[in-house]
Amino acid sequence: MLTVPDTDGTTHPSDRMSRTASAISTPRTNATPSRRPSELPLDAPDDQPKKRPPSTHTNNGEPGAEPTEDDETMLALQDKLNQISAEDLTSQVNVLEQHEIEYRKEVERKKQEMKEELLDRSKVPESYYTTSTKEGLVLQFVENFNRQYMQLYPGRKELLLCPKNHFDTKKFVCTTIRATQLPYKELYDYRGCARFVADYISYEPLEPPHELPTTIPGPAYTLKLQYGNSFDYAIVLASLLRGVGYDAYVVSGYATRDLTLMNETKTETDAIGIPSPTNQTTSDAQEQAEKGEKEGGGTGKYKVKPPRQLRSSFLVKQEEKKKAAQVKDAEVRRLQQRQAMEEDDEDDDELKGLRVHAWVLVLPGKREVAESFFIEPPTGRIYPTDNENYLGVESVWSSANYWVNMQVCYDGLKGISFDLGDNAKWEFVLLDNTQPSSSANLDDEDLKDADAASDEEDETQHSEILDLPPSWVEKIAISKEQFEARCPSGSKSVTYKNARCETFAEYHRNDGMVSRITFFADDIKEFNGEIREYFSNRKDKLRERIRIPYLDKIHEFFDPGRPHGLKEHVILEGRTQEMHFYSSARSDGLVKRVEEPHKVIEIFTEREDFLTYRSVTYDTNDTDDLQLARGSMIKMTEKFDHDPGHMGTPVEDTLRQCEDVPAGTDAAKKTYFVKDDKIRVTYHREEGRIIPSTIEFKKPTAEQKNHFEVLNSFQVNPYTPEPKKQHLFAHLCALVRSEQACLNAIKLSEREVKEILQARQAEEKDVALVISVYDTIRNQTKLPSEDEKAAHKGEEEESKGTDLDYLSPFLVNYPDPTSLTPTEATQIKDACLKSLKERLIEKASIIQTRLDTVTAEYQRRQLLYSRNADSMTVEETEEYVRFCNDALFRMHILEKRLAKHKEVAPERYVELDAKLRADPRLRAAYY
Amino acid sequence: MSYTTIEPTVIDDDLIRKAASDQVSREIAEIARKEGIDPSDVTSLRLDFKNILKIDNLWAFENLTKLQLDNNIIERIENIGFLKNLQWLDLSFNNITTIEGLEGLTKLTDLTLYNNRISKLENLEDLVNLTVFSIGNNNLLSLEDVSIADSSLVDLTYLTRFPNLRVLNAAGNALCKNPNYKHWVLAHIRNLKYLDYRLVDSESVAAAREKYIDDLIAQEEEEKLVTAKKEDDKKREEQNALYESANLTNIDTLFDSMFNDDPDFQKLRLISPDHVHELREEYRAKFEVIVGELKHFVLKRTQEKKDEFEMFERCTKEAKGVMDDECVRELDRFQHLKKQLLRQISLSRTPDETDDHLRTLKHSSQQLSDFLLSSEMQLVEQFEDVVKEFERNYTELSGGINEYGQNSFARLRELENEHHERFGEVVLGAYERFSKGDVEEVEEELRELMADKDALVNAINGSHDFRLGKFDQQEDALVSGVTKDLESVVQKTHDAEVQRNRDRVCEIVAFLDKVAAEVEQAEENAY
Repeated sequence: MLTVPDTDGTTHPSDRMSRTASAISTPRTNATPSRRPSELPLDAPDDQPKKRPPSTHTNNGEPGAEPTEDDETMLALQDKLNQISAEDLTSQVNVLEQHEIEYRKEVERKKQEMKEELLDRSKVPESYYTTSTKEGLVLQFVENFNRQYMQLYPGRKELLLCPKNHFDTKKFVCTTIRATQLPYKELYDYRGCARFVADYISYEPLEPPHELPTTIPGPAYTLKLQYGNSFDYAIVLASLLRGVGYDAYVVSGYATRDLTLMNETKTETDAIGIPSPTNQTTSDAQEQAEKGEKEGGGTGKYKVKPPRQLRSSFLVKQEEKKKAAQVKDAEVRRLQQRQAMEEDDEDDDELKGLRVHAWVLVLPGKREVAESFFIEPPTGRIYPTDNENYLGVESVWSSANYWVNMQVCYDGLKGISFDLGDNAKWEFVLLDNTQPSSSANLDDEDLKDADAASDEEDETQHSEILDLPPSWVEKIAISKEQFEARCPSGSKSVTYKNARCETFAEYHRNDGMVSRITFFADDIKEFNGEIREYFSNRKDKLRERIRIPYLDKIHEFFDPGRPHGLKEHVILEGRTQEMHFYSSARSDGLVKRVEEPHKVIEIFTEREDFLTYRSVTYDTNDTDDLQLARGSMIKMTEKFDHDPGHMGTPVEDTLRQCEDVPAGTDAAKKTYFVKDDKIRVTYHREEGRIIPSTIEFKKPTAEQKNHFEVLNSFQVNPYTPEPKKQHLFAHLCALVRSEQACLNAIKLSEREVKEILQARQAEEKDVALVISVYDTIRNQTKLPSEDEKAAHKGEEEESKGTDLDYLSPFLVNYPDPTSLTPTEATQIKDACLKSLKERLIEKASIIQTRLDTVTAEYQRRQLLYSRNADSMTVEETEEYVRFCNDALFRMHILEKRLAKHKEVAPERYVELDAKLRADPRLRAAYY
Repeated sequence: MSYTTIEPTVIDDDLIRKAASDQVSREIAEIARKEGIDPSDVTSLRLDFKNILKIDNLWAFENLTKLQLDNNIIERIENIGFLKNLQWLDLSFNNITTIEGLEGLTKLTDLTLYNNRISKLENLEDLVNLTVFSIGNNNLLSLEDVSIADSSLVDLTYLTRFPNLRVLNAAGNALCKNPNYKHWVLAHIRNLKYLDYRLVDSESVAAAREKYIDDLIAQEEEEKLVTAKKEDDKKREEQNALYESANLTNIDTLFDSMFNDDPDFQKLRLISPDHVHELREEYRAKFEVIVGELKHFVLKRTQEKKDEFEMFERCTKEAKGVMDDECVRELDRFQHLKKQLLRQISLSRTPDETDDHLRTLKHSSQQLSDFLLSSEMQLVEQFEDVVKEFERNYTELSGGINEYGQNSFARLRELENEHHERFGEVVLGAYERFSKGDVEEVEEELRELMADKDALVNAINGSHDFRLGKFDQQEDALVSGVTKDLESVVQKTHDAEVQRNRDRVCEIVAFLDKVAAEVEQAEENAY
């Protein structure tokens, strides 16, 4: 049966059919139904987002949201951000800019290369550019169906049945799906699949948006190029889903502009799990409020009466009223604003309902799917089948069959049934309707169905029915590298309502960036935009960088493991403002270092001397713009925690004496007035006191070491006796010492900051990435394979063998070393042994002569010494003793060596003899 | 000048002053010399090679922790018992013959008596923290029969009482010639780290312990007994303390003492021991019930009182904390302002400007003073309110205890009356029988008693009165104790508050004075 059964066609009343068509082609928003696609405004392409950000595109501030003519607020936002980026360009970000531009160029080049490569016929299977007989048959059949369909429903849009592939060969669209299971466990779940496809391929909208695509190049091509339109996406995703057993279909239909353009600009980033900085602050405040409430509750039985408030309750009420009114006003205003915004957002798309789109439908029944749902492949998000973003369905196909929708899409997809077995609602193309929901054969064919679905071919009981040819697409393959790289040629960018997220593969960018989120400015929330960049595998341990162009602020976060334990680095207007450190990684427990124009503050924690704070103030008068020439030091301040005594640590552990220092004598703050030669100490407050004691010294001068002065002192307890001068002086001496220590610490810290800044500059200039030892992909090249090693080893041995032929000097005189006559062999043997003997004797004589000379010299010196021992100076005597020792040692060694040689020589001789005997070349001599 | 020519001396002021001033650090020496050194500031004193014969004149050095008296000719340890803080005492190379005069030096950790003439370890009981002890080169047990096994070492048993002893030096004594010396010491003195200048290794300790295993077991058992006894004592003490705090001292022994301490009853008991005993047991059962209830109630209430007090304390503390924080904030603000203003004053050129700043400064200091004092006033008011409430509650609780106590004792008296009647009956019954001649064998003493009925009745009544007296005593102790407790608690809280208030006002005033002085100074400087 090669024709569409007439019965099916007649079951549909023609009037209903036409209604369907008009419903599909008519936008819901009262646009004139007569408007044909050909009359569409020519500005349609303007609706398209920029295909790829152009190379001039900067990496800061610019949101990249396409300027839609109707969306004025968006434009305003963008303007603002553009401004910011312009300002930003002038600052020191230029290095970062360079990375960006290079990167863009590279991406463009790679894409072009890939495209060319994929068009090479020699590299693809024959099925790509030929049509098999079976395929021809199917094509004919489908053509026939199409003709009838066009005739019956002239008002409906043509179906995507047999598009051309990239080699210009017509292929039935069902054979384009190639169900494949890939060896990655993330891809076993539909969410993982959707996520992967969304990340892996980058989206190109259809052009024009209301027409079906002219070519469908197949999933393998799409995955290699990593670019595709919604049809390419849907086919890839359906292939993968069918590969792991889902009952997945490609749906061809109509969707809203936002979906077709993959415009995510209406979703907040919070919705997809990226908290935006504006919301964070509010949640913090909330937390704090909660905390406060918690702390407030719960005290004992007794409570003090709150002090009487001497205030007019009338005035208070008036005040409250006023406030309430203000709040109300503000709310009303905000509400109005929001309404206005929403109105702006309202869809007034002329092409509404005409925008062609493809997505994936997953039907229940397999892999524990309970309800059918849609997957939007470009974003990887899951939608229910009645989502308002989908406006109409034209057809549905899998690798098994093709169904045409016969239902009317008045109100989007509400009420549309996806029971493909229902012939009244779905018109099938091929007769072998294997849709499992055709209830009759569901039960007994359950298992078989799974197989049938993943196979390219349907084997059905009706032999006369035309069966589908195998898919022409080659098997989908994704290497581990590609799978890990995820993003299309390493990068992917999505724009949301309040932010744009870009993802890059690891090691893809030279600066190690893996993702970047650009938050757009928002006037309502009084937020001025922010860029967050995430890095990985950087040698300098940079993990995250937050940039706020509005304030010209850069905040960098580092992983542990940097020298100096740097954790965070805040740069404001090109100057270091704050540095945070991993205090546990530092011996001095530094937590934070804050630089203000004339003050540097350092905060410490968990120190043995309880120092928590140190600051230096510089002279404000001789200001210089240059950081280097800070004014002279005015004062230094150190603050200490009160020694909690033996509270935390057991007494034995601490080296210092843990006797409780009374709070009144434990310094809380020491201020060294460097300029005025003064030192002031403020002590801790005693229990039950509100005023701390203080004392101020004038430092002793160099001339009068013992002269000092107490300039100012305050004792909380007026009854404490005047301290003795000696104690004060001892205290002062200790203070002077600690001032010196403080000064040294400050100098050290300054040097350290310089080092850090230099290191940072160098690192940013030439970003180095590290490769983990566990990274098998990137480390492979460095390790020589086993084979290579073996080969290398063999070589070495060979060379050894040739080098050490001990007979070669003796064999040179003989023309044919392999076959020697017995006499010749004997001659060689003798010569060999003789030469060894000579060498051994020679060696012995060398040792002997050396020994003789040393002995002679020794005797000579001895004689010399005994003759004029009395007249020798001390040095000479010493020299003589040294010589004697040396000579005796050498004599001893030489004697030993001689003895050893005498012992070994005969053995060596015998050894060589045996070796010669065993040598195959000299065999003749012994037989 | 040779050693022998110096006169033997006694430690006197000159000597001490010289020693003390020699020890102060060089940088403050000059000032210290002019000013003199306060003996209570001196923590260590070195008096070696001074030919000292007698220790004396050290009582002013109460904070002394280290005292070196080595290489003198001291013969007696004396006049150092009051140096309670002493941790280190060096008396080596002297002529001391007996250990004495070290009583009360509980903080002493290092004691060196090297090279003296001591022949017996004694009088060291108070040195519970002793860690380092050197007794080398002395005359410990210079007996002829050192070879007679371990008996000669028993003297060293004395050292086992120091749980912290880590370093022991006994070399150079006759007893060290004993071949078992080392093993014995290692086995018996636990935790020793150094013995006679050498580090103790664990192997030899193990060997030594092996050798004296029997001794050690005995020692351990003894210790166990001692500790068990100590624990028992402790528990009893705790119980007693609990009763004492609840003013129920001796209530557990009340019943027994009621009868055992009564001479009349002891006599009467003999008349009809079985009956009396029966009666008494009955009485005891009822008595115990009432006393048990009383104990439970009073203890519970006492705990409640304690909790009440704690709650009150916490409340006041919190209130104080809040107020103090506020004051501190205000003060900080003021300090900051003052700093700025003073700087501005010193910088200002025109007198008008200066005046202006001065005026603001004065004004703000006035404000501060107002704020601080008013918040103090407020605190006092708040405190008074809370104290009143607390007093009321506390009095109520105390009253409850007293009331219940009185009730209980009334019940006890009733019981006693009942018992008295029955007791009288029993005794008189016996008397009747006796007078009728039913009873054959009667002791002589009893016969005497039985002879006089009046005396018998008197004795019965006397015994009754005695027991009632005991009740009165106990009741009085309870009631008066509770009342006293109430009074003392109230008084204490009031006193503490008054003291606090005084301190605070004093503090504020002192601070304000200082600020005023500073302002004045600034004013002077400005013009």
